[in-house]
Amino acid sequence: MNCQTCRFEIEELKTEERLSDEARAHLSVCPVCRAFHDERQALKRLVGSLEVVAAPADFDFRLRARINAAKNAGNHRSSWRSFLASAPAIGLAASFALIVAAGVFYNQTKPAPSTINQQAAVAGKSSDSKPAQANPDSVQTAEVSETPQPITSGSKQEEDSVIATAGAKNPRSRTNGNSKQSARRESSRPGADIQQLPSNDLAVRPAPQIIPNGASPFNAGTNLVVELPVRSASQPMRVFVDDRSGAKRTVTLEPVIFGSQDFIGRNTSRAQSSQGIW
Amino acid sequence: MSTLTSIDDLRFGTAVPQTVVAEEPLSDHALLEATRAGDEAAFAEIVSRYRNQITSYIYRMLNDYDGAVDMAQETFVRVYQAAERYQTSYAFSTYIYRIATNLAISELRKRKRRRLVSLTGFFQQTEGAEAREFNPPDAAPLQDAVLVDTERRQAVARAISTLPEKYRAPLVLRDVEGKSYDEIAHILETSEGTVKSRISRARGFLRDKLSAYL
Repeated sequence: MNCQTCRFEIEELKTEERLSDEARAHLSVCPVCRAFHDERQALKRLVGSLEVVAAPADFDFRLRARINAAKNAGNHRSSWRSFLASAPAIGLAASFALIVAAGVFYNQTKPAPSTINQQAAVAGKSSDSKPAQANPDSVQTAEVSETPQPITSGSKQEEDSVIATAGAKNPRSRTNGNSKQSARRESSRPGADIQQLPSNDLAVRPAPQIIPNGASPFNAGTNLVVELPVRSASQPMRVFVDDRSGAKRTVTLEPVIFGSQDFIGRNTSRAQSSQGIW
Repeated sequence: MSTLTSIDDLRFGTAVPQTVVAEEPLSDHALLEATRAGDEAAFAEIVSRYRNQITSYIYRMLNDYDGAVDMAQETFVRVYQAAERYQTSYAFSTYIYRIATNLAISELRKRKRRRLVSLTGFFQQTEGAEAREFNPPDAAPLQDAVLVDTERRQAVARAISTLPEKYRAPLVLRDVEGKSYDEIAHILETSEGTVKSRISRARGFLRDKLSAYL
């Protein structure tokens, strides 16, 4: 037997066991392995001398309480699961309510499509530095022309276009120069918000020409005041004034903001306006 | 498996009829079968057979008595809860020691993460590093042999607790619990050769740490 085999046997030996005859014969001639054997046996006796630690007296009592606690916890979990499994209608109703609530919330928080279109229309207008004066039919903004041409007071086209350009909600503004009082009444009538024209109407329909009644103020040197009744809108509005004599003027009307637009998230306030038209 | 109705129910075998009153002691497998059938007294018998062994084994692993008792109780709770799934493919003692070993090793790893400050912390070291003697043996002879014996046991326990966990479990199972290599291999779910190698390595560590007592 060589030293390695002998040491393997010593390692596997228990303290109360005896080595094989071959191993003992090897130990008698190999002092190194004998020292290893003595050391290992002493170590095993030392480690084996550790007494068995007894469990405390209340071990069973505490264990029983612990098992019952674990059992109750498991019952609580299973009862909750069984409740959900046995009441699918409740889960279904709860899911439906969640979906409806999410839809309502989304509709209330997202910007109105008309507002977005109006913003886009205003942006397009602001980028176009020259209004289309050559062809009045293609003008997409309100235009006040101070010419002696007669107008049809309170025409439907005029009303709709003015409102659409302004982005206001009242389609029934009157621009008749002779009926300023009635126009004011109309603009302040609460029931006037009957129809809101989509702002993209101006992309397919020309903006109106609002021609004041009476003679041209430039002919006689008179200082004619042209009053244009428009509704306060949440969108900026630009009015192009052309007196047909080459003098053109662009008037930007600031929307009337009371703060509610900012609050409900549909604002087109100055702070968010990037068109630089103020 | 009854539910708890009074404080007396917390004592095993008192609130349920004693069904394990056979002349010859039932095997562990039979007791677990009875436990599976709802016999609380059978489980109480299992607890009485193994509570000291498991507590002592975990105590040697943790070197913390309160923690060892807690882990031993958790071991029995696991056995009770898993009684339905127990398979008699190997000895019940192997099964329960495996649970205890896993719990003890998990607890050791938790403590290592938490870096708890304890008496054993003075002996904690990384694998292969030199041990730091917290309380080296006094060269002067002591008069009281009991004190010497107590001190020696404490030194051995502390030295074991400084071993890396992969060496500690097989050494305790072999040299303290007296398990066979085959059983240790089953408990630790490794090969017998690995067990022998780890035990030999653990003894080498202990020899260095306990050279004063050898």
